[in-house]
Amino acid sequence: MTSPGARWLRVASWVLLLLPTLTISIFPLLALFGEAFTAPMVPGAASDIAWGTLTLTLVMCLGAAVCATALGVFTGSLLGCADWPGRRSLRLLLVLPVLIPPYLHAIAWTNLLRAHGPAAQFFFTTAGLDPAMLAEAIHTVPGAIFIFTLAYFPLTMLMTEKTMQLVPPTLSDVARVYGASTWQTWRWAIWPHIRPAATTSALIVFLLTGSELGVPTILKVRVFNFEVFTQLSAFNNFHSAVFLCTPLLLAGVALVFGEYQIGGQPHWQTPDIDYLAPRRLTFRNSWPLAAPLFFFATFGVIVPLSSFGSAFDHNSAGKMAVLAIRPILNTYSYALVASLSCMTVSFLLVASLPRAAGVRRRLTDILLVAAFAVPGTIMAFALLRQFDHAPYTQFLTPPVLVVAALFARFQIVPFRALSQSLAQIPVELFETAVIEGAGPAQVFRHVMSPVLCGPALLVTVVLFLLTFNELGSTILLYPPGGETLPIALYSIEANSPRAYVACLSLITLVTLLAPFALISLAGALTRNTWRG
Amino acid sequence: MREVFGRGLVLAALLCAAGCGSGPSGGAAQGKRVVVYTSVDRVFSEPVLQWAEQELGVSVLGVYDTEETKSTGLANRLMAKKDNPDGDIFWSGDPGRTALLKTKGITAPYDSPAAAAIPSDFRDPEHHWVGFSARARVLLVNTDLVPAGSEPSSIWDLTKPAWKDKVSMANPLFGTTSFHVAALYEALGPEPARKWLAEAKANGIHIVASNGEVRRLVSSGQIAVGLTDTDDASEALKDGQPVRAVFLDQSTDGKEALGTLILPNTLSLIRGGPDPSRARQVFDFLLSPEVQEMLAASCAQAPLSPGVKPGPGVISLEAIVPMRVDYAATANRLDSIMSELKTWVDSP
Repeated sequence: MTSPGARWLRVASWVLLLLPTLTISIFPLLALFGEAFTAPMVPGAASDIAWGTLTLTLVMCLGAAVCATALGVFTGSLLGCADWPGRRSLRLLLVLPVLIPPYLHAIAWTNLLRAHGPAAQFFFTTAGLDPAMLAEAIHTVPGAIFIFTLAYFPLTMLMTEKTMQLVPPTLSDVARVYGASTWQTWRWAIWPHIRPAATTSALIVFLLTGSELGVPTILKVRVFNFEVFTQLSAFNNFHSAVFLCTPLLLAGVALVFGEYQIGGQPHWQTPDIDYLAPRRLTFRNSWPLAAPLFFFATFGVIVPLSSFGSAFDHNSAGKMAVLAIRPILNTYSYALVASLSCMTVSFLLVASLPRAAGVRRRLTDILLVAAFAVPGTIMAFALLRQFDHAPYTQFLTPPVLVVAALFARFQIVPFRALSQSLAQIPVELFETAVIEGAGPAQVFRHVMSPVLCGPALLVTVVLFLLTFNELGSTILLYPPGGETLPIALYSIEANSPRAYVACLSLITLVTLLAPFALISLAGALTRNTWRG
Repeated sequence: MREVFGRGLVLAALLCAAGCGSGPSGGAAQGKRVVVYTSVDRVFSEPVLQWAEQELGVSVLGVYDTEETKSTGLANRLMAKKDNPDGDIFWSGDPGRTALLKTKGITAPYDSPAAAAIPSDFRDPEHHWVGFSARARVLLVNTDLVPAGSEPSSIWDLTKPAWKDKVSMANPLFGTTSFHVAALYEALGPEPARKWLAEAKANGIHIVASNGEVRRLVSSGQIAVGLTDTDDASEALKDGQPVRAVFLDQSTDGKEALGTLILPNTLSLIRGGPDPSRARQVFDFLLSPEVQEMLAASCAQAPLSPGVKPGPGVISLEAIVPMRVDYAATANRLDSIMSELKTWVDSP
């Protein structure tokens, strides 16, 4: 259906849009790996690969991906297809944990479960549990999986719910007419449609868990990234550190291919006038389902807030507020510029590719996942080695390098999510537009953009959160005086009074939540004005 | 949906503008600023840098490290930015990293007039670094678990059956613990040091992430005793925890005592830093007796300049038997024993 001219235009756009990624991540990484592989110490480093730690890390990532996806699909399905009281409030509660950076979840839970903390005292007095038992439990791989699940399941939930809006309601109607139960309706009419979104979000959660440094650091869980950093800091063996990233890189690429196999292709929908407003299944006795979710969601929000709130004091708050002003502005600048530019390029990149998973899409996936699979610090090293000298320093200043690192690291997230959403747009819409003589620009403007707008907004928020919380790359790249909030928080975490850490954590939370609250408020006010 | 997008974009643009305007590259003081990389905990080092800023009238920016991020920290950043350094001074909490940076060609020599009073043991003969306030390695003891008088008095006591599974230390691949172990190799000789490590491992010593973690474990009573630094011990005491600090190997029967390792803070100028002349001003200020008094008060660091009062609760170096080590040689030793230490850490 596509003319040769349009095809060439797409290929040219694809190459052009990949250029920033190639320049700021792939070429520096290739140079770095080339250097490491040709350095004389590589054979020694190969024998240093800690297979046990690598396995443990992969187990942790897999555990978090499976748990977060299972919980996310369950909650997303409930929110997307069930109709029962309190659904909107529950959605809000369930989304909130993703706005809290994972390391703050970790700090809060370790604080709550510490040996002489309130939870330990409670369980000791009521059940006679050893006060150290809970503290030990959270400092384990299952503890880390719990924290990551809590922090990331809303991503899957939102993607599931969004995808369900594209499932034709007629399917579930037909299933129910034929006497299918709620479970059977979900399993056979809905699940096939949300499966690709679920596997994509599982892939994203796996990669996010693997690249997150803060939670394992705070929980003292030894992950493979620490082996990489041991080579850097204890041995100052830069080449070995890079060499050790090879398994991570290969795991990332393998995951992408695995996801193709497990997730399959999205089910392209037939046009349906109702497809944006699915009819909902009614659960007559929904509270047994909803109650544990309320409990879980409340814990996801209440624990960090209460943990930090209990250590709050006004003197510390004043000091930390002064300390936080510049980091807040810096973090917002970096995160906004990086997430918006990353989103824009990904949006156009997705539009430049065919809907089917062809060679170009797979190649793009591999290139983008490579930049995400290596630890952020290694990515930062690659950028510094490549660009931190004349003549690049004229235009690639430290703040630009920070944004470049964030862009390079997280581009896989919007690309995968938008590809998924694009593939679910009814194919007939494209065909009709082309038959009617619409060019690629018109198809993009009138077919793709309106449908992708919702998912794009959601992904922008997620991207903003990820870039906001990044530590691994920014810690090497930030300019003096340009530290971000996570860096400020980490720099006071050791040996500062607990009240300082609690206050700065609360400030970070408020800083993250404030713009979302403002946008929601503005939206509500605007709606009320129109109604009035 | 478009309205939400629009509102979001307007908000984004406003925040970007605000952020870029106040960012480091937009700061008015950029031309008159000195950047100090410091691995000393921010809670202690930042007030000193702010004081220097007030006293000298130049903007002094800190780039801080933490226990948790030391693995990706300052020394690596300095090495990565060797071709385009953005720092002027490296203020280290121990001499190990400084010596490493010297060998990598990242520090520059500077014979500061303010360093003249510092004892020569704590100065690099080639003027690449100078020590100015010091911590010491101590054994932190939980007083609820260990009655007074029954605590270990030597590192060799930690390998005895009475202390099996009751001792902790930070990972010797990192931080001051790595320097401590290297100093044992220097002071005792390689074979006795290896013997101590092997016996400690056999006696169930707990290897934890950091000295701060040692402090937390001993303070909470999860471990009876642990090797850490005086500043961690001081923090635990300030918090009212049931602990006391013991200086090990202060006396032996007739023989020369091994002594306690003293860990001086060190200052170095960074080669090719943006503003060497102002950096020297800040360098001299940081070596001043007043700064040493301030560090003594805030984090119990013992002043190295003679005549500076340590203040209440701070050890005086004259009062303890120090471990006799050559700091440069110890730093070099550190490099050569790392593989051995990693094997030791990884062994069951």
